Amino acid sequence: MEGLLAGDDAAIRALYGRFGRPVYTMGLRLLGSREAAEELTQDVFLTAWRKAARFDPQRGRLSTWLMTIAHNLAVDRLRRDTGVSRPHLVLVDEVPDRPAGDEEYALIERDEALRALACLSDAEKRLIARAYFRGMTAREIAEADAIPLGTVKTRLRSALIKIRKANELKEPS
Amino acid sequence: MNCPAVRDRLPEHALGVADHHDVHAIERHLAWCAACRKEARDLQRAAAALAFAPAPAVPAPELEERIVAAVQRDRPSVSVATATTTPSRRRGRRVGVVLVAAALTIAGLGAGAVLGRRDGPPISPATQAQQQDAAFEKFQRLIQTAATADPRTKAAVGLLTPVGDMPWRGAALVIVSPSGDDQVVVTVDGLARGRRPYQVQITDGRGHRVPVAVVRQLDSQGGAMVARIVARDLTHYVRVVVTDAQGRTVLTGVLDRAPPAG
Repeated sequence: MEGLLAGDDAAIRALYGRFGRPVYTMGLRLLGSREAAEELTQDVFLTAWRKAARFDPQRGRLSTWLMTIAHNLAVDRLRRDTGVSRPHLVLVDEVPDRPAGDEEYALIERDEALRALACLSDAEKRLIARAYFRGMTAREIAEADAIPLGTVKTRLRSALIKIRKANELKEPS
Repeated sequence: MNCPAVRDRLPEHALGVADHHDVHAIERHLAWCAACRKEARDLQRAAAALAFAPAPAVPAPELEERIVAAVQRDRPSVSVATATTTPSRRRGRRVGVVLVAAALTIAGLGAGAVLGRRDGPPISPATQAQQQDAAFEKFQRLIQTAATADPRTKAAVGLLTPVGDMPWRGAALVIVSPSGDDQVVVTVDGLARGRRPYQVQITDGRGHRVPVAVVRQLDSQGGAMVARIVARDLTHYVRVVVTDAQGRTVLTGVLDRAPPAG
């Protein structure tokens, strides 16, 4: 991150090498087009470079920090672009392409994500996916499914805690 | 917002879908409540893991070069949105404050010295740095003064970056005052005369747009500064978009809340 703070090209390329693909993938999943995904990816790395001074490794992992930036920007754009075609969700059924770039990190992080999702019921997976990958609020989900808002919130929290526990042993404290 | 109310909203906050009105209240609470902050961090870490779940898609090879080039273009203008006093961060703020100070000057908001004026006499880097630091302090005092008058006053700043490989750039400042009119200041630089007039708009996350100005005149280097007082709440208007006469986006940027002064 010191390199990123200094605007070091090598640091930017290293960050892109590790996270460029997941950020782009998130853009594609949420926004549905290559153009939008590329624009999002550029915005995410520019934001990361501008906010690099704020990153505190004592408070969390770099991947959490960067992917939270990416997700927030993507959801904002998804909500703004009301006409955007919403992509179909594919969470766990696809076989990954042959990895490129930082293969090891990519595999570890995807493995963690898939392992975490495996601990959820199908209903929980669908619920989490609607919020995280489609930007639906708890209220929107509750109205769509005709269930109480409190129930949706409780289920979202429960699913996130399951994910957290599934990866707990793999993460630094 | 108390702890139970915050805890009720943390899952949506972690998933990035909390109501905009709630987000500020949640973050204010998290700033001082360690217990809720821990829960928020745990949930956010869980949510971030989801980002890696989809099968990876492959971006175009040239995207990396575009991003490196975009960061290089952005390099002279580091964000001012940190509130520390360490020397390295102060340097970062110093270079970023030029456009903000200039914007404040033009808007008559009290920043004082005219900094970074391209048509002014050349000044030494040391003098420029000194002036920029002074301007930053004035910027902080401006926010502090406004916050004293009404503690709910907020300022947000952001840099505008070009769409595509163009030399355009800009900066924007929004001051949100619950007890008065909100204000927007936008500076642009390097725009092409042939693509005038440019429309400057500020948008929220839900597709609402507020026009800021139409830029018809540019200086010799394609620059302009515009300001508008807006009689509506701009709290959630966080993206500035500049489009050319054909409606093509030429500059865009996301505003970031500025630090409290002091």
